[in-house]
Amino acid sequence: MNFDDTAQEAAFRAEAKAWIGANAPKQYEDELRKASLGRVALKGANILEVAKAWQKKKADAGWACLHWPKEYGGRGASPIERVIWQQEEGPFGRLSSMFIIGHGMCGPTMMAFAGEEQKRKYLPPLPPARRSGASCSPSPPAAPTSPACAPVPRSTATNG
Amino acid sequence: MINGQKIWTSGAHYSDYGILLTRTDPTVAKHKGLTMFFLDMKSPGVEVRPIKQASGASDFNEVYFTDVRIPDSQRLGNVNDGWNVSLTTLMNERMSIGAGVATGFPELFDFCNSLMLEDGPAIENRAVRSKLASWAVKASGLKYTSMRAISALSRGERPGPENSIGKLVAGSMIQDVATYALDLQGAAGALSGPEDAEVAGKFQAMLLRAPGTRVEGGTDEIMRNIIAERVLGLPGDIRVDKDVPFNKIPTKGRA
Repeated sequence: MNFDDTAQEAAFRAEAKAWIGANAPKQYEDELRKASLGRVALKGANILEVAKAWQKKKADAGWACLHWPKEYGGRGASPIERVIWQQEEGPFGRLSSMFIIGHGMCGPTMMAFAGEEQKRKYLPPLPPARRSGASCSPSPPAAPTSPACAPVPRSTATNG
Repeated sequence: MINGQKIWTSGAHYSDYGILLTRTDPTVAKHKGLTMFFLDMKSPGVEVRPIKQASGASDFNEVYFTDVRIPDSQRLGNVNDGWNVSLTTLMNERMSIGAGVATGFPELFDFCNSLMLEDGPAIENRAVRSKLASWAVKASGLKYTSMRAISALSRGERPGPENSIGKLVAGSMIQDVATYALDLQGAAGALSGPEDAEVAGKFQAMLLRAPGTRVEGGTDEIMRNIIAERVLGLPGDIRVDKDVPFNKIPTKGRA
């Protein structure tokens, strides 16, 4: 096992690090670093607004939804580049937690199954967080439990 | 036309769109009669009710659908093929391994470094050190398991089901770590407000959130099944309703 970056990975890391250093909302770094499981909040700021602003900034510079194709607002990056980005983004990545479902689940599902016209209409607003998504599906991973959403007929409504 | 309800919808209160798995045929086995759609969360008939958590936060919702009309053009995949579509949704979620899982260990280590017990600093107490050492080993195991997955990604491979181990181990660990941190605080652990607690209620918040980790994204039991069946190759768990039509699955003790 070799945990060192390849030359290409190291170059990507340096580029990511430089951009984050120059653009991240550093006034919140301390609070975000101290946030623990079960509590990500900012004093004196609306976290949703801060998160959306950071997301938009990333999208404008091509650093949002790294694993998405460029045509839908992503970067077309490799999985390892996405990991490197997450390592470098560090505490600021906590701001993205509210977009995980839209970017990680809804978007990729649309990419796999929606028509091209729909993909062009609905996907590009997601990376800059002009729109966000929720999943009314069973929680991952795949478990053949009871159906999660909107069972028909209505008399059989169950929890998911 | 959709009627029904879904609980634990993370972030529905700030979402513009949703994807929705519906039961379109109750006369076939449970995973066969599902169809996936996407919808505007502001559609008439969609009601988002926040859930108040033990920690006081409201990150999740219960979403109600009353006579919600979704055009067929918003269907994702074929009718009754929603299970396959949802597997795509879930596989994508599993690919996001990234920066590793929260264990609570770094927070506990910092806390023990500053905490004073009756007979001296907590970090010099043998019982505390023994606990810290065990958790340090576990945290390192998790770290290098995640590094192994990252190495696989770097080589262009897809991480496999063995990555289910991370959340399984970390979920119960963070619960134990938070409980221990509260024990160390003694009576001060029972706080009346975050301002009054040691390190501003950090471990209290962690303790209240931790059980959720063991449920979300696949419960501990499901993770163990995945590891048993897909990693270790053990015989499958008994699934009595796998081939039973959904509307024939008993929901009462006696008919």
